[in-house]
Amino acid sequence: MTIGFTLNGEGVIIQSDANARLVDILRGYFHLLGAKSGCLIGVCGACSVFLNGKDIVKSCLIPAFRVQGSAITTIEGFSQTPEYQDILKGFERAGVENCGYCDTGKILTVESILAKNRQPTRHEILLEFRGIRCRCTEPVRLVEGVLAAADLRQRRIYGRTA
Amino acid sequence: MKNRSLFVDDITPPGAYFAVTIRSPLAKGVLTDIELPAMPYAYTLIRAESIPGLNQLENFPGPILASRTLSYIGEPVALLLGPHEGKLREYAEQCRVMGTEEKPVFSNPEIIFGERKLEIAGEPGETEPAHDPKAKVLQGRYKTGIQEHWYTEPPGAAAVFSEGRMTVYTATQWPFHVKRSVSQVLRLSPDSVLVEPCGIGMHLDGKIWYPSLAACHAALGAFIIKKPVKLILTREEDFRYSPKRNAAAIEITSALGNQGEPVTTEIKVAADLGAQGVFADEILDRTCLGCLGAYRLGRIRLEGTAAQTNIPPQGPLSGFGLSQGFFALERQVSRIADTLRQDPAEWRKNHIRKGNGSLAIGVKLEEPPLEALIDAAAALGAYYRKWAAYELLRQHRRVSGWKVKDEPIRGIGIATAYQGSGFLYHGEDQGIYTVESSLETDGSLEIKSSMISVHDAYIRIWREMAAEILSIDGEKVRIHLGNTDTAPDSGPGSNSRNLGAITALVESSCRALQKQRLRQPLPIKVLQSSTPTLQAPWEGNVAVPLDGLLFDAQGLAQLGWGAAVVEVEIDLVDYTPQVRGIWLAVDGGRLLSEERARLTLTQSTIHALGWASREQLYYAEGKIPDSLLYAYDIPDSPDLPPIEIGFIRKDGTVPKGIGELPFSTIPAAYIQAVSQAMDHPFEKIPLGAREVWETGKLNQKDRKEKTV
Repeated sequence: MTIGFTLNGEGVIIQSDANARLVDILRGYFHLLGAKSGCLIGVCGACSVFLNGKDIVKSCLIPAFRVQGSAITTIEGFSQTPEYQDILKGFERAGVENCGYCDTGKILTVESILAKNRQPTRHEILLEFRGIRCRCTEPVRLVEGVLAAADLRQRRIYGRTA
Repeated sequence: MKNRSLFVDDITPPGAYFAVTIRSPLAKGVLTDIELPAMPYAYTLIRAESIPGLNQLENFPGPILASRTLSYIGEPVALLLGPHEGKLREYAEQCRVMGTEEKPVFSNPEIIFGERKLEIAGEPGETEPAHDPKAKVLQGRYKTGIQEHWYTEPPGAAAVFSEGRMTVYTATQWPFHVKRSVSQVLRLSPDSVLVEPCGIGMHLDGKIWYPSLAACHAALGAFIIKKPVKLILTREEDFRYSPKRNAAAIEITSALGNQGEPVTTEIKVAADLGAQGVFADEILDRTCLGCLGAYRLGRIRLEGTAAQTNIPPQGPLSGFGLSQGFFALERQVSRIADTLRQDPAEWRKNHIRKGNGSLAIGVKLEEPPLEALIDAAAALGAYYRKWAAYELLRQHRRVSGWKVKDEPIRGIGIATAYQGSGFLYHGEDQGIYTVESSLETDGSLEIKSSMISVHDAYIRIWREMAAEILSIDGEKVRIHLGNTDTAPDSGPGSNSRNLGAITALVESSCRALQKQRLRQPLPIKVLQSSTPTLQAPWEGNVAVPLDGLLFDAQGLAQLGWGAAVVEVEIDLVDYTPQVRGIWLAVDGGRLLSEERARLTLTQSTIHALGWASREQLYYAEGKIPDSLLYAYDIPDSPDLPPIEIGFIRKDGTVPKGIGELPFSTIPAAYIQAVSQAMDHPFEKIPLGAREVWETGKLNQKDRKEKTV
């Protein structure tokens, strides 16, 4: 089928099997390798993308036909924004170490948290990360990284912390 | 966030075909045929008969493609290759593997991969065993469960064969094993094989040998069809068929003397290594060593077997067998203390081996720090006060027939362990680590090693160390890891054990360069190798192997030590043990980076807790049940307890492996804590809420019966 959607701010039209996984389309058709085909059952979060704004979805569970007319933002698109830089710097400040495989899921999860809540609590942050199944990141630092990113964003937008 | 390596799935060589593994549906049997669906000409099936060289990985048993004998469900029997991945998987699902079924073995195995028999005399001054019918005997039957690595990226490889040279991209802890295995399978000279390592993620020692299998499959495909080939297991394939931490059953029988001291200890170890016994010797050695521990156990008699069953090959996960052994021994000594109504921490302190400062197997210890570690961990977790209080409450519950109100009950446990800094491997090239450092004419330094690091931390440490020794700018230090054309063979890498060894080589090579740079012109190249050996692993003649086989103690050089305290709280409504806190005291020798050490220990603690409490995995008739793929439960962030880590000394001369210590201490401490709370000696991990609940119901039943 012919599917039209917005990808990282640009309109695109592709020919695809209606049931093809979005992650396969992103990786195979557009060569956007940030979303990984980690588990393909929706538990690891490595394939996360934003669907229609800041709603985080697992692209391995999204069939192509569902993308018709929607707006998809991948980590490659998000990485062009100042919000991405807040998160990256926040993680660096807190010494967050990842192996790199599910960075996409973690960074987009942070953005989805901060887009809803400028000052999340530690527990709220940890609950949101339930969507990422990963053995490599130390959770306390991850939380510190999110809090640091929140702080940096406050400073960037308002010139001060809240 | 600087670690942006390419993963295997990110690499698709131009014109690449894809490969899917066709697998055995039988746990045991004989392969007779493979029926294929109607497929376009471009799709090809490759079977074992097409392998030009040896149908085997280097030094490991089992074929890379089964040709006749089938030994587990999921065993690779063929490769299906084609240009379109989606279609390929459809065709692969329609392939029918035909075979004659035989009766599989899932319990009471008869085929043994390895066997250990050992008798160790008691230390001088220990009570000699005597036949005393009144001697108190305590027997524990301990079981440790299977644990899944849950890699970030499932195993896979991409291979390109061009102009007589095979290039393999894969995520492996051991690039030179991949190189030699591919060379052996394809009958190519080792120089014709290049391995380019990809991003590996948290491997937990699960990517030591299995990536070599995927690499051989991809390389075989590329060699035969003369096109690049990419093969990546799906998560489901990985979960069902890749090796896990092996299950172990360990029986320990202690006969106690008049003062409650063990006069004889009989240990029986049974490790289930699945169908192929990869690393069977190494895992069995280490499980047995863990069971011997560092306490005075009187005369010890040990029998260990690693056996074959018809489940997928089982193998290493952090601890490499040692953690299973330590779990059993640490539970046993806690139960001895319980039986004697002594504090388990005090019992341990009073029974540390002191004769010649050696372990039961004769490994010499420079300075056993166990007593200090126990006290340090106890102080961090306020163990002594809490243990006494919880013990009093336990006695009260017991006397009152469990007339407890609805308030939660608590328990606390302690355990100790050690880990070596070398890699126990019985292969010909065992334990040879090499690093090449070159000081160039422009004053820059190049360090090469085939070691793979999960994170950037070690690279940072090496860069800073080299820059300091040679008084050069850190920017001028270039580090090349992994590529088998440029880096020397540094053996199999693991996060903690031999990264420490490689770090020592980086340091010594830089010091050698520093000495030479004043005497000879640049460039200067230094190659440093080491084989961690013990000066006299059997000194003192304390251990008598009954079958003439010695344990390979090479990997026990430079022991790192740890003690862990775990406190739990159990709500008597749902009986799920909640961990209130974990406190670790560690002697890691010289700490290269305290921050890095804390991070490693914290991560290991989380995975160890998962193994002990919730990561339930099992095979039913040779197969992991479908439901477990979704239900397998690694610890979630919100559930994690506070973790506090203390180092008892940081100024040792050598860095020591410490990353496995949580796996060897926390499970036993956790189970002891739950046992104290529930007043029941639990013997297995993982221990789920259901087992605790059943015990709670038994306690209540007891209470009712007593009331009646």
